[in-house]
Amino acid sequence: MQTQGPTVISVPARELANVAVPGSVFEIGILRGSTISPELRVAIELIAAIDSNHSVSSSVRCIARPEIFTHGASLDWLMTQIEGVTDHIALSDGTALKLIPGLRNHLFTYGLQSHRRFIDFKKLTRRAPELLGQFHSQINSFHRVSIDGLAFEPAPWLLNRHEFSVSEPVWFHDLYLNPHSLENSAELMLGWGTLDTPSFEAFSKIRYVPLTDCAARDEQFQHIVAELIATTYFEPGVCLLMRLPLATSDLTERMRLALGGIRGAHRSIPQTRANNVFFTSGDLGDDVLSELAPRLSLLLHHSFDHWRHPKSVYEASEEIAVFLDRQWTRVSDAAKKLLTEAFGQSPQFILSARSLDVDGFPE
Amino acid sequence: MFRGHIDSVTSLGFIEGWAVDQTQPTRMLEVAIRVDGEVVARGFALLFREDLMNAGCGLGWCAFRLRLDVPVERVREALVELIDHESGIVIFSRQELPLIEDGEVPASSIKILVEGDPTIIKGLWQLRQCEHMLMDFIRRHGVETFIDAAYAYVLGRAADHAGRLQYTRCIRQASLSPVGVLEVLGDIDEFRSKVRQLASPKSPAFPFG
Amino acid sequence: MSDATQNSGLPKLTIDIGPLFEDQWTGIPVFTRRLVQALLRDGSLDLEFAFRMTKIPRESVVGALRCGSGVLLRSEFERGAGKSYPLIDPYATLLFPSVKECFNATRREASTVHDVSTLVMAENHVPENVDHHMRNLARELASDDVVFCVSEASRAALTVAYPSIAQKARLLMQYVDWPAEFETLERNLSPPVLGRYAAVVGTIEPRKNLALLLRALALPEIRDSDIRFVVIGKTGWKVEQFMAGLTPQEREHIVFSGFVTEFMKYRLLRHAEFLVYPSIYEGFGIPALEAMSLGKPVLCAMTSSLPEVVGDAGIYFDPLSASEFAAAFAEISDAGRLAELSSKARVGSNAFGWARMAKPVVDWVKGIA
Repeated sequence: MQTQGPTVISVPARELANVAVPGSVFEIGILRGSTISPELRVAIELIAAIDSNHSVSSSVRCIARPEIFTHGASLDWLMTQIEGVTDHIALSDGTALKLIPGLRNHLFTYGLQSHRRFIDFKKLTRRAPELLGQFHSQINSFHRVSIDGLAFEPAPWLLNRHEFSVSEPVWFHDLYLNPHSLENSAELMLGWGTLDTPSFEAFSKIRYVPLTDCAARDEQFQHIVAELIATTYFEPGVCLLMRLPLATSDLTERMRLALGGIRGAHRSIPQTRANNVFFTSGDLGDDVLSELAPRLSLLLHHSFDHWRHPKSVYEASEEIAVFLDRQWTRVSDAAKKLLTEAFGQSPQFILSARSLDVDGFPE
Repeated sequence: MFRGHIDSVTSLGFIEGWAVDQTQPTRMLEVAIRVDGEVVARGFALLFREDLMNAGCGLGWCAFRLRLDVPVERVREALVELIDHESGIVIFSRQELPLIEDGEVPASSIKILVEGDPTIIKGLWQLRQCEHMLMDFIRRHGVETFIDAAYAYVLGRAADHAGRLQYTRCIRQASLSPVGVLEVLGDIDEFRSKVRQLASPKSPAFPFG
Repeated sequence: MSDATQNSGLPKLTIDIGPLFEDQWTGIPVFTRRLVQALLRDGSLDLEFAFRMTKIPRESVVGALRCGSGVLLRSEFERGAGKSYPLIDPYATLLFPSVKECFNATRREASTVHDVSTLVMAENHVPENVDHHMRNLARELASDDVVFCVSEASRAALTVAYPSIAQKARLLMQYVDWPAEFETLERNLSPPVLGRYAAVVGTIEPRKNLALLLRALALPEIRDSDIRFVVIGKTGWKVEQFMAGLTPQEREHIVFSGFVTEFMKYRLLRHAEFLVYPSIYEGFGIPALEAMSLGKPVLCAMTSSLPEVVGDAGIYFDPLSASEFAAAFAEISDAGRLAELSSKARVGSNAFGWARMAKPVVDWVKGIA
């Protein structure tokens, strides 16, 4: 565990829109009892679990807008509100990286499954690399920056769940892609209704690809996904499950997003209703994944929050592949170590052919 | 050079009149009231009066209303002088000032307070005597610059190409006067839909000075 | 002989007066005006003016300063007169009162950072605005000989993100300069009869945090007070929506002036009991200084640059706590406390002046600091 003493957290300001914040510093229970994004909820539950297991403080507190206490009297005031605190975990969705002078700062990026926020994060770390370089550590990630030609990477550490979560109802939709009309495709898929759960016994191999908004818009990743789809159509003993991006609650919109990405790969896919390729409406439950694990082949995009599932699910899986944005010529040792620890096995790494270009400058 | 008049003293202790520097009618003239050699009130002659505008006095924006530093009784019977504060030149003097009931109602709401702002105009009609001023501006800066300034003043934006062409032509052909351009711009929907406060001709923010 | 001095014998400084090309001057154009006037008044530098690397005649700039608008300046420039303006000296010392439009145009440059909110709180800006400010910031800072920051808060926030510029970050703080005639105009007007009120700077925009005030209207310290709130300035977006959520009694406690002229702002501040400034983040906070210059203390959020501007002339509160705001409001409303703070307000305001603004620029040009 990387925090040394009492810890505070901060969250992106947009997450506080529906939180009745009593003041700049407040108990984490107020966040937990409010409407926040599911991704943030998962992240703060992980942090709160550290606290209860390791008793670093009686209660983790949250600072609403740490960036406004810049220096002098305002920073002194903040420090008196959080007297005794040594560590700050900055939960970031990619739009800002918040450091509190005088504390050990740790970064936890949780919102990068949004393509927009992933771009924002890349821009920010490119435009102000010294920000990332000042974090003492990073949770569940392995971001790196280049400062004056030298690579800096806050020490990654793993924070994941140990227990199973109860699975939420998940609906399955047979895949159909009409490349000329995503609306027609979605309409037909929805019109066919949903399956509660396919009968997995017939399959010797189950491929699972949880899509994110970022993954659906990642042209290079979608080439791989489209190839998998096309191949699976002709492999009756294999099943492919793709979780729809969680970008919105509108199911049709989610299907259009996923289909748009697949279509954009320009890979020819049989224009017929699949019986072994499915969209799922949500995460497969830990219990379902564990049951499928010996036959399970996972393909994870770098934007997928791998801590959504406990280690036991991953380590029982047959194989895991992780698709990474090519920011560097090779995967760092820290990245390999973190993900091996998270999965209980060494994943295969697939690097994108080129890094996503932001600001029009080559990486 | 200077013209002016002291009209009256009011029950609330203000002295009212008007004054203008005829050689520089756009100048924000600072005047003072002197009684027995002592300055008892000071301020600017920049308020609008319609009668002054109609009489062609100082663009109509040369009235004053100055708070007396002494009791009203002191000035009623004394010889009261209106002077240009900068040069000390006596513009006007009189004895036996009439006392009138003060007509001004103190602002009792924000709305009334804002409406009483002496640095803005109430309508473009209050600029009717500013024709010479605007013509002088055109002589110094050119017609197109005048059109640019007119758009910025009335509409708060840059002149569009078509508008600039049209109004430049109108001025050059004398089919529209400079004040006429301002009034036309003030009559369009764009102006009516905005809440805009336009500086008075005596304000430094008036762009045609 | 170097081009650093001309016939005047004074060290030369070229100022990019791009911000003055705006029709209506608020914010950064006003900062630029004050900077230029401070340096003209200081008189120890030979000033030249430029826009997009072309020289602008001094008389054009002085004329713009006189009328407080960039209409003529821009019109003359765009009319084609700009084509006949000479280029700036590539060896000149060049100052940008805001962000730079170009880098390494001359051998020695400085730019001015007003606000780093697009960096530290990007979520409060549209993406295009973030890109506009951030796209070239690192290059801009790297190409600067010095970086002027409009407050210690801006400097602190900037150097957290870019520690490598700490050595060359300087303060450049502006001042209040009400037109001289305002006091005379005010004296000759009847005082308004508005009852006791506090002037408020703020909008519903999240950063300006007017929503905190609206939430606090229900609290007894505010509800039962005879002090109303007068919000100065454009009404802005979503105000009606917020007002609709208030009770009739709460609505009586707050009035919006709408857009007002500079003189009206002066009047409203002059007759207020104090200023309320609930912003969660400011680059400097000139409204606070404006109020202080008129002897008005400030009920002020404890954030960013506000404590360094207001100093001991204010009462502070947590900008996210309605109850703390209410308690601070009760404290500042006390007549004795108000009188005590009012005397500190003018003293505090006097610490900011044209000489203080000119000095860091003069020192830089002369190579003193």
